[in-house]
Amino acid sequence: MRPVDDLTLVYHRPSGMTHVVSPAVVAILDLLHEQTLDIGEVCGALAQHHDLDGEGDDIARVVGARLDEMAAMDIIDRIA
Amino acid sequence: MIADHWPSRTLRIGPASFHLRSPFRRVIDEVNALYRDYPAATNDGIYDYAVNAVPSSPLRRWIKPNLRLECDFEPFDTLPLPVELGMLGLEMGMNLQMAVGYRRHVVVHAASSAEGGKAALLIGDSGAGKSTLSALLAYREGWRHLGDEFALLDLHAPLLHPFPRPISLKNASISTMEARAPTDRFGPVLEGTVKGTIRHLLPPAAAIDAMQTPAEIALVVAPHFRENAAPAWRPMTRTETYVRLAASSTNQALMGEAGFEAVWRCLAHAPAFDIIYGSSDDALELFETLWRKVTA
Repeated sequence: MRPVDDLTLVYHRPSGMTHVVSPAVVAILDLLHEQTLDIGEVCGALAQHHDLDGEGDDIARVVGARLDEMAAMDIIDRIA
Repeated sequence: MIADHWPSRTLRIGPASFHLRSPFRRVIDEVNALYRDYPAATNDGIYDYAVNAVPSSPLRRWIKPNLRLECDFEPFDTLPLPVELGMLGLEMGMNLQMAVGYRRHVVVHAASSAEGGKAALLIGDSGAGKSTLSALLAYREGWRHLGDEFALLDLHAPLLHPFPRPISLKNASISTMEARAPTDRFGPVLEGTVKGTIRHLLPPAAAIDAMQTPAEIALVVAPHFRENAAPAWRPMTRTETYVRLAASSTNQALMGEAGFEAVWRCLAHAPAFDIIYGSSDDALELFETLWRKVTA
């Protein structure tokens, strides 16, 4: 991952593709590095790291949308 | 259908070498004239790419002669060319080998020029003005022409490697450069091509002599010529620069992580600007203002 301006370039080794992603995606990728989490655990960790207690619904909405995008880009695996 | 006794010419241009062949002697004679300053021997006696301009059928060698390309990497769905455009066909063939087959550097569809040990990369769509600006710089004191068609990014350091082919001038830029470069550096006028009238301009001999010497990338510029436009510039973000460089590269994605890192290294090392101008004098003044700003 290489930061550029307010965004980050992510080179995805398995596909050889490069993605330009937002800070929220970088935060989620950091959390999912070498571990599997469910959406509640991702939201909980982000709320704790970014001092967002009490914003649960908004976090879940944003994280859900980003996870959908990341799965569509094949940079995360969704496990049923 | 390729015969060993056909007229041929081996060419070394920067880090790549080509073997050109055609049964039509005039085509190879034109290549020899245009590439007279380029070495005919490769470092190890082996050339990288074969590019042959052959008749579209055996009869078309003798009756209504025409030619098509037979290369290591071949074009698809192209119409045969008249023999008068045979040299242009071989040029297209060499471009195709670099765009599709070359893997020793990241190939970017861009022009590049160096002053001292530092280089500027000129990116943009065909017709935007990068070839003209690079031709203006090629014949400006202190500047060394690195290439007008492809820039070669090093895979390990922020360096540009020269690929100083003859500069392909189109339409109005031909007269612009005829007023600035010696007459004996120009090739024949090629009319009726898909890009209009084309005339090649041989770079100064010093640029060809130095074609094994890379330069450190210091500036990225996206030039835009617009008739009568007032000179203007704006900085490009790194994100925009990355996207434009990656989109301009013919092999970056194929080079994997090394390709990604080479493009990243380029934009991390050199600021980028988009410039607009309406005349050659404005182009040079604007470009050199930015150059002094980033290399001071």
